[in-house]
Amino acid sequence: VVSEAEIEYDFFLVHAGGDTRQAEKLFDLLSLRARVFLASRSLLPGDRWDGTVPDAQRRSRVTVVLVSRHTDAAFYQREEIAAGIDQARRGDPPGHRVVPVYLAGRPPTIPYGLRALHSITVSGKVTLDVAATRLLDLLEHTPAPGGVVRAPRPGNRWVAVALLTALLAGALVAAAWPALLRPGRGVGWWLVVGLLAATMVLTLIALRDKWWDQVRRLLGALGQALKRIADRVVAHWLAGLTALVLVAVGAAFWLVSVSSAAVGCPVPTELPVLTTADGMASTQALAVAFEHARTGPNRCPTVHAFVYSGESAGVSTAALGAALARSWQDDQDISPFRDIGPRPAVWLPDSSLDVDRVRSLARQNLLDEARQPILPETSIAESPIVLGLLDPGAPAAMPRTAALPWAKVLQQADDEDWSLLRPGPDSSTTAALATLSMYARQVNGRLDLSHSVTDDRKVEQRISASLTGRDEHPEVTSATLLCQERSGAGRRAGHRPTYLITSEQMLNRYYWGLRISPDCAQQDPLPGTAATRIIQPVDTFIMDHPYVQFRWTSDPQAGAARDFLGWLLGPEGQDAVIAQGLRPPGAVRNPAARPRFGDVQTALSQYRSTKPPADVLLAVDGSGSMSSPAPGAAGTRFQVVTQGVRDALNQMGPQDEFALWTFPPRGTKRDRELGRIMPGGNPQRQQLADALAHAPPSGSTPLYRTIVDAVAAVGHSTATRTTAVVVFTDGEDTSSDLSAADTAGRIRAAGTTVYIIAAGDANCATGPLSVIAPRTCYQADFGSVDRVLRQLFATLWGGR
Amino acid sequence: MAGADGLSGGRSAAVRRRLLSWPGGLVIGVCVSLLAVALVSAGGRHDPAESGRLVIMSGRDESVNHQRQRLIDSWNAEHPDNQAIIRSLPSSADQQHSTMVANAQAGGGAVDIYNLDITWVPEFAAAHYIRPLDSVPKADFLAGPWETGSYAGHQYAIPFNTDVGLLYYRTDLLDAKSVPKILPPDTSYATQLLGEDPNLQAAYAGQLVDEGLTINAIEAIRSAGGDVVDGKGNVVLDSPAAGDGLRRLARAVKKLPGGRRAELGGTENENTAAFIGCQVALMRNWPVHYGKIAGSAREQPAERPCGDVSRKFAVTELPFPSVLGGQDLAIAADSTKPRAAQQLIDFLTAQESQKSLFTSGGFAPVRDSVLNDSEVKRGQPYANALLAALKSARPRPKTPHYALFSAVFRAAVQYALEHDGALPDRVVPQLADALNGQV
Repeated sequence: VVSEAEIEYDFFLVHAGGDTRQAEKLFDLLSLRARVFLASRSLLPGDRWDGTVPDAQRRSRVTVVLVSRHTDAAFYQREEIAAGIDQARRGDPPGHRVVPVYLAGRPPTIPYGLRALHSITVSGKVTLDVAATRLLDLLEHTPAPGGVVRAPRPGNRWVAVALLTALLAGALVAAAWPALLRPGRGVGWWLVVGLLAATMVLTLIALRDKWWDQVRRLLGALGQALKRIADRVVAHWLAGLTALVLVAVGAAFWLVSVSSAAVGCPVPTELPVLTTADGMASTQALAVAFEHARTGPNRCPTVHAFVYSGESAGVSTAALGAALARSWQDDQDISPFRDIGPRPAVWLPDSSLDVDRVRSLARQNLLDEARQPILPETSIAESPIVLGLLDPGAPAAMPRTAALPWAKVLQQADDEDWSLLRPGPDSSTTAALATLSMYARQVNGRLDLSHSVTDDRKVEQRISASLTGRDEHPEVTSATLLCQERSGAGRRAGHRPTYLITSEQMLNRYYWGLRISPDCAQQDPLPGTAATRIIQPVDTFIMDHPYVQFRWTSDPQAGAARDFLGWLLGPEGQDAVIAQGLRPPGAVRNPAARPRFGDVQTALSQYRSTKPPADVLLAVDGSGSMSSPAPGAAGTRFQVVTQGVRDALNQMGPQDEFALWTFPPRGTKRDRELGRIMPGGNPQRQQLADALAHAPPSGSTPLYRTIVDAVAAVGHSTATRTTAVVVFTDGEDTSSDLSAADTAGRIRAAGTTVYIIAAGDANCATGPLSVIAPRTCYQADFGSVDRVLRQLFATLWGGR
Repeated sequence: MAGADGLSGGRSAAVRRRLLSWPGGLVIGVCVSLLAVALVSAGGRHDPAESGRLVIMSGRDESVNHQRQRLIDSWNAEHPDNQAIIRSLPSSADQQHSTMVANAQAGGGAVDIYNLDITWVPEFAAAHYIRPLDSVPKADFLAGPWETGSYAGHQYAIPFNTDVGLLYYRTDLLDAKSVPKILPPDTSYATQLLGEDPNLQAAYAGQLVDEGLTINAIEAIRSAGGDVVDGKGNVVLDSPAAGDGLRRLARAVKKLPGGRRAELGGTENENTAAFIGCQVALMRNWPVHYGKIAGSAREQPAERPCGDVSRKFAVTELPFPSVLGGQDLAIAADSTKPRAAQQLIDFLTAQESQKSLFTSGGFAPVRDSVLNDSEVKRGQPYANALLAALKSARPRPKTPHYALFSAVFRAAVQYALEHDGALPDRVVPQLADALNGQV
């Protein structure tokens, strides 16, 4: 006897060959909710009729006999009817029953054994659909073995369809509102996830037995369902049409969303790369080469390296180091995000001395090693500090291989009256290391900075004399000096050879015709080779170009940063590094001891002690426009500048001298001067700032006349006293009796330097200010004017 | 008729059967999903705002008197549990873009709201850096600015302030009828205008620097009846009309006999200074410069060659659809306080906030009701011209790769300026690639 567990089908359909179409229709109707055997649908090619069919009938719960006028002539059907009646009589399986379904009314002859059985007659209102419904009802009322009424069998399909629909709808939602389904959405997100999970669990439970069979049946049922959607629309047009519309609208919506969202390349990983002002052009070139190397076959870039520098934003090297040590957090002076740019994922300083400084500052911030913002660095290139001859076409005074120390080279410079240029020591680490190279002596493999300052002063006087007439800020960068040479603006002092002390890389770029800075045009290479123009003292220091990554960086930037490093150290990257004027790591043979950050500080301190005191005249624009509200700051423009002046006065050294003017004058020309601080007059500082605060802005902007009068008032610089005029203005000249060109000529003849801080409508890049102070005009906004004033005065003052 | 009696399972059984059939499953699945989505959406609207500090990442606030910060101060006074701060970024658009993208990619929820240039919205939306804001009603937001916040059929950002090109002109030299119908003006018009005033250095001033070059070149092309990208997303820069526009632009920046030019191509501020300083008679510039010109009377204008320009200038819309500018607010995808962030956005874009940003800070408002407010119209006489310009303005190409597109386009325009309007080879496929982010 077939046991309950062995039952494979709920219905076994018996029919004559002439009733096949109706049998298949009934099969389809029943299959939606039950397991049905119909020979024409259930047999696979090669199945044995004489084995498979009787076996299926034995394993069925109900034999459904379709009776019609064709039955009489159907031999096999009659056999199956007899088998069904026998199974019902023997209870094999228990509870097996036979249900006659009369098609188109009862035939004249009813097969043996069926006459006494309660039947279903298909005719008129009782369609095959109704017959199928009644047969399915029968399943629910079929007594299980032991006489217990079985629980309804869901057939599992509704769960599967619900699951598929929910998954489809979930996919639609994910495509249409991706952010909606992201973690962190709270209750809603968990609700969606929970519902989907619950549906899946229910399905798994429902399918736990014979799961493969269920899946096969499910797929078959879905195929049939699609095939008969049209029938359903007719039979149940409302539900069918609703379902079709829902599916069509959903699919269209999904297609539109997905196709629109997937247009083109994905957004490349953004890699913020911080570098130095001198390193901007070469780092940009390396970044472009890296981006190109990481462009996929579909021409989609996978990374975008954004290169920027602190100095370009007007932030000093020291302030930048402090910002890095604070993990890019604000302090009272600067907001790194606002004043510098994005928090870097990669930092490419010129020297590991910069890295040492940040580590030292971070330790001062009580950060232990595990919380240090900087990860261990790797050198990607090298470049020694050298002297390079700027004059076109001429070889250096001594061969590169002369193996002379700095002391001997500087002695020769003195003997032969060379013109020496060096970037401002505070402008960059390259310049600071150049200063250390010039000041330090190597004694038994150690640095000695204890010799007399007099020698240093002598060198500095030579450099200062060489810079005179170039209208340069004392903290001029290597890039500015070289770009000036390129443009022909560098002025020669007679026929003396002019050497620039800087990194070999910067000089290579100059000789090779590479771009020196982003705003300095690329030019043809200079004739001759770089090697014949460079002097490399034997005890010089090396810029080791570290590649620095940060603890704060997370993926994807961290991954891109590692990839950039790997590329830079690989053959393609190293070729690119060399093409930018650098040497590979370890390529420079150097017997000099590696300096410490403290050594550089000592050298800078000595440099400052060589500076002569300064006599500075500050002229502040007091025209009517200065009473306007300051964009980007609290208060009026005049109030913002007054506060900046108050802060800047704290930078004065004891030997410095200061005069404060405002323009236009209130009455006679003499009324321009609000006050003066003589050497040693520190207590007067705040009184002077107060006087400025009480000078109400009004009137026009006689900018040119003020500058010319100020230049005459301070006089020219001497070896023992530096003079300078600093002018703050928020607009162009409106009421002078001379032109910008006249003003520029008077400044050149005066032998002093004019610095202009331009804000508001005043512009350094174009117009008259670019004529008056082409290299010493600083563009500021009212949010940063105090910082610009402070930094400028810090470089002018503090001499002894 | 056999069968009905005895086999009928009753009405409830029939209902159950229908529910447990496959169409029933379909309906249940759809209902479950719709219910879930409805609950999620409803949760966003009705759940209480999360507490905690809100961070807005935005370019530096250069508004007069920090008007944006004042608005934030007002919010903070009313919302002690959601104090807001502005994380200011540099003025440079490139710096802002890099910082925002890097921050979005790194995740971590450090930022709740991005104040995006309108050209970046598609990029941030396509990359899922920001959340949809479909529940925010359009209400009386102007159609153009509102559309800048949409992408792929969803609203991802809410306009904060808008921008549109206006034509400023000297009323002592021109009247509304005699302003040029094309820009930049052709050389014959410019020559005639320059003859009116020997102090003029150029007839017209446009912005031909950085993104200003992209905008002014698109407008010059549109002025000639062409376009860069058509409505179907095809690059049409090689059309004869586009060529006419570029040729006119190239000729306008060249020196005329006597050393003067038809067009001066400086930055926005430089051009305004030139306009105030009597050096140009016409200027294309943004609305915020109206206040600067109107306030220039404080600077001893009597000493300028043409006197006080603040008393003899007027503003009208451009003679063709301007390029639309502005900034939109969007909620970071990884914000842990999206409901509070949305409340802050609602506050910043509310009518009263928009009114104060316009009247006190000079930011062009994004709501129709503000521009039609009688009090606003009295204080801002150019409100009508602004409204008309906004209604006809058209956006720049909408693509997640706008930065790349603009860079390629600018290089092509720069070439055209140096070659009498001729375009470099292969520029059309290059621009088409750039629209897809390909190099």
